[in-house]
Amino acid sequence: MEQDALSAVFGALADPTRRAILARLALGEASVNELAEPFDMALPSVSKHLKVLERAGLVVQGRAAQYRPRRLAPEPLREATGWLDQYRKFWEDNLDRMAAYLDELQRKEQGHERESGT
Amino acid sequence: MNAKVELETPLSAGAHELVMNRILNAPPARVFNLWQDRAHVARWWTPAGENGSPGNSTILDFDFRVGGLFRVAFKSPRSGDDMIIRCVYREIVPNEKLVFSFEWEKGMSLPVDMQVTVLFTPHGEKQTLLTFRHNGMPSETMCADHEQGWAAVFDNLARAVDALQA
Repeated sequence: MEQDALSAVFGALADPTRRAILARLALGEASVNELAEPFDMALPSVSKHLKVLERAGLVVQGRAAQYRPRRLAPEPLREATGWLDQYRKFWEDNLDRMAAYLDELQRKEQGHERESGT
Repeated sequence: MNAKVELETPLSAGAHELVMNRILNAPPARVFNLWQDRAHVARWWTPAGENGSPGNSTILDFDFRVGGLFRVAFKSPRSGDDMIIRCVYREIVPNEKLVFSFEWEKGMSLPVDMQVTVLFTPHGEKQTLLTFRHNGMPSETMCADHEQGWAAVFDNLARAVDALQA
């Protein structure tokens, strides 16, 4: 996952209201009004939170003209919870190179020992 | 031959820790020296280019002491972008243990605090068991809801994502 996209997802998740919206959408799509209901919050505020979630790719809108339900897009969430996996490859490669370098050093040393007859 | 050994399975998504283990054909002092000596580090801490071509990293800083800085610049093998990794040594026990923070100074921006722990343990007479851990948590400062904390957030999300797939 691109780091900017990951930052956007973490930023979106950092707010408890947005997490609650995601939890509601996990149960099924909903309109902005339906999402706003549980909160003691004006509609524009809820819309702002939805925009953050949409920019992070976590929520998508339906296309019906009058009624635009929001749906949860789970893929970014899955990638975010697995962010550490990209470091596995980085470190496997790094440790592989360290091990190979160690082998190279030891082969050279053994070569010198043979030459000097020790 | 050096062996890769998975002695522990990585923890769940909520716990955010990567664990890797290797058995190396040299005593701990030799292996530790590869991390301690700047000239050695320059020879192996080198992301390979595409198709395994020679690496291209440059050590910018190497101050091997607690609080000291280790900075490495290289080009991303994938994108060719300039990248810089910045590490600060937190704990050094010669021939036994190394702990340092890990962050991207350039090329990536990740709101995560990361730490690497490397343990060097004797294995048999002449070998070393290298235990490697890379862990991290999204920065607590990013979380508006400090009571819950990121660990719980990710635990809950992982569960929600699993439920969606069901």
